[in-house]
Amino acid sequence: MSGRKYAFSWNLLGDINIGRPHLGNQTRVEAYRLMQFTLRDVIEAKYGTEEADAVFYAAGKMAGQAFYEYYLKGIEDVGEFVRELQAKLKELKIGILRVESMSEEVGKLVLTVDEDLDCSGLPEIGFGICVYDEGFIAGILENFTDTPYVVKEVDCWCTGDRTCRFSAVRAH
Amino acid sequence: MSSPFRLEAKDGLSELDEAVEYFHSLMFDPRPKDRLPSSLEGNEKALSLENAIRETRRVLQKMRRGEYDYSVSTKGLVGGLLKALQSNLRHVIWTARCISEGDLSQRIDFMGEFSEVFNLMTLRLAEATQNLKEEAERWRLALESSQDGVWDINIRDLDNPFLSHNFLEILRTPFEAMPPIRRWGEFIHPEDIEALEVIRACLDDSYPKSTLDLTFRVKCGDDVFRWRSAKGQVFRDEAGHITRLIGVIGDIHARKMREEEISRRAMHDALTRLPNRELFGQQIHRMMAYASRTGTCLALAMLDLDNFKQVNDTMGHHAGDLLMVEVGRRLQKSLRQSDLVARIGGDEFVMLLPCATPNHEGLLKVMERLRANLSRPVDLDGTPYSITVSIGLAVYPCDGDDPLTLMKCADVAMYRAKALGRNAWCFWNPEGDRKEPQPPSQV
Repeated sequence: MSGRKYAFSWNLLGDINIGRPHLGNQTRVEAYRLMQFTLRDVIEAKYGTEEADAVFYAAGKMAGQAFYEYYLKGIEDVGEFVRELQAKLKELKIGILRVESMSEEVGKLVLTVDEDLDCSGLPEIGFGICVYDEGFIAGILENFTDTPYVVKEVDCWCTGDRTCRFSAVRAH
Repeated sequence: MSSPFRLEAKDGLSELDEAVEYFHSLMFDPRPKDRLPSSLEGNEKALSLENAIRETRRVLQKMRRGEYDYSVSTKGLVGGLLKALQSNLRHVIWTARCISEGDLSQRIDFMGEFSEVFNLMTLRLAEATQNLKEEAERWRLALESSQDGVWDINIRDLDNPFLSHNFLEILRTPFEAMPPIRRWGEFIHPEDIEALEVIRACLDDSYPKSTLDLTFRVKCGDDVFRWRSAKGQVFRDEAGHITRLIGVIGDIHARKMREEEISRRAMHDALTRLPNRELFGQQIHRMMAYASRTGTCLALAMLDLDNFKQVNDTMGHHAGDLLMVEVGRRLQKSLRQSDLVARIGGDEFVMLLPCATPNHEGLLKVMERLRANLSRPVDLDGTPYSITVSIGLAVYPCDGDDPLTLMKCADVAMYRAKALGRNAWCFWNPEGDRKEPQPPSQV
């Protein structure tokens, strides 16, 4: 689609140092969630739940791929990759990443993200909401391994599990 | 506010007490009551609480056994904490596995004191590993620079010795072609008995020393014997049994060859390559001692080329050298394996001839053979030259029992032969009567 208004690239994030010399590059989690949750509400109301999830998964994947290209590109060793990813997620306060298991050269992983940016502290609502994170993780893994992944959240703060656990499987 | 529990007092123990009793048992008893009180049946919160406690018990018991692959269906704070704990422990396992596979950069965060200690342990392990790597590299470079080979043998596992690259290069044998250690003695030169005995003693645990220092010849991969040196240490267990041999092997072949050549040159005449005066001096003592032990005799013959000076004066020193070389060659050819001929001066030769008895007949046969060989003219750069010699003989022990006396006697006899016209030989006559000279042609 030519002449798009909002096609994403990392440089669109701008230079925060120039833009916010006083407030800096930090904000509250509530501000982030306020934007995401209202956006999700409107998309769901307009296009339905399934479409909203698809949109958020795709957006998360795009973000994950851009995140990889900006912060993790060039790393080849799996151990170093996990280490750097953990460090970046911690630095950007996205969450505390743990690897519970990894097999077949990153063919299958179980990850947990504590203090997840999207959902930690939310009320228990009976279903997981971290669809964006599913896409985010899939985007990072796909760019690291050059193979597609299917990522599903199996535990969520919102399901009462108090941590977000994701299962990532290489797609055939 | 109404309570979700509708409990009524009943027969002494109230339903509330019964419920409390049940949940108390569930929480604290090793063998808890197994049924929800009837008063709570159908009560969803009571069922939920019962399930949560039972699941918590099960999960904690699994964790106590080191099993972390459990599922938690309980929601809420307790379920979440159990899952978070599980996540942390499984992450620790994964991280520890990465470290065991060599990734010493892994760290664990957000687990308080455990994180601190775990990360410190990993850091120390990384430092120790790096130090070991550097030390190993240092020794490797030092050994490669020295060109020596390293061997490290576990006596209890002779099938898996450590043999460095240089070791195999020195023996000119690839690792897969190396014979079993128990057969290494077969490749040592049979004359190098000390090395053979040391190897056998080490393998059968009878070697008494703590160090090894050997020089020997070994058959290399190209079937050529070469000189090698081996220095090492012997390690033992508490009972004194040999457990390990470790050391270095060096290529000393070139050095040994140079030493042998120097020794040979020191003991041999450069022109004729015959033994020189120094070697003759050693051999005469040995051969006299042998004759003494065996009750036999040893004849010493002093031989002088007649008119040699004229050859040098008329035909040049080159011709003189050629003549000397040819005379040396013919003398060697004339003698037996047991005899010795040496050049001890410009035109002076001396021979040692073992003989069974002082009877001169055997010696005369040797002299006759010598005469025949020397009688043929020598070609000196195209000029034929006839050799004549004067020979004086003395016999041990009859004519003397020390080398100096024998040589004097033989020398006197030789001059007597010269005085009688040269081209002759004389035996020493102790009574001073001049024995009739024996012209070579008359024997």
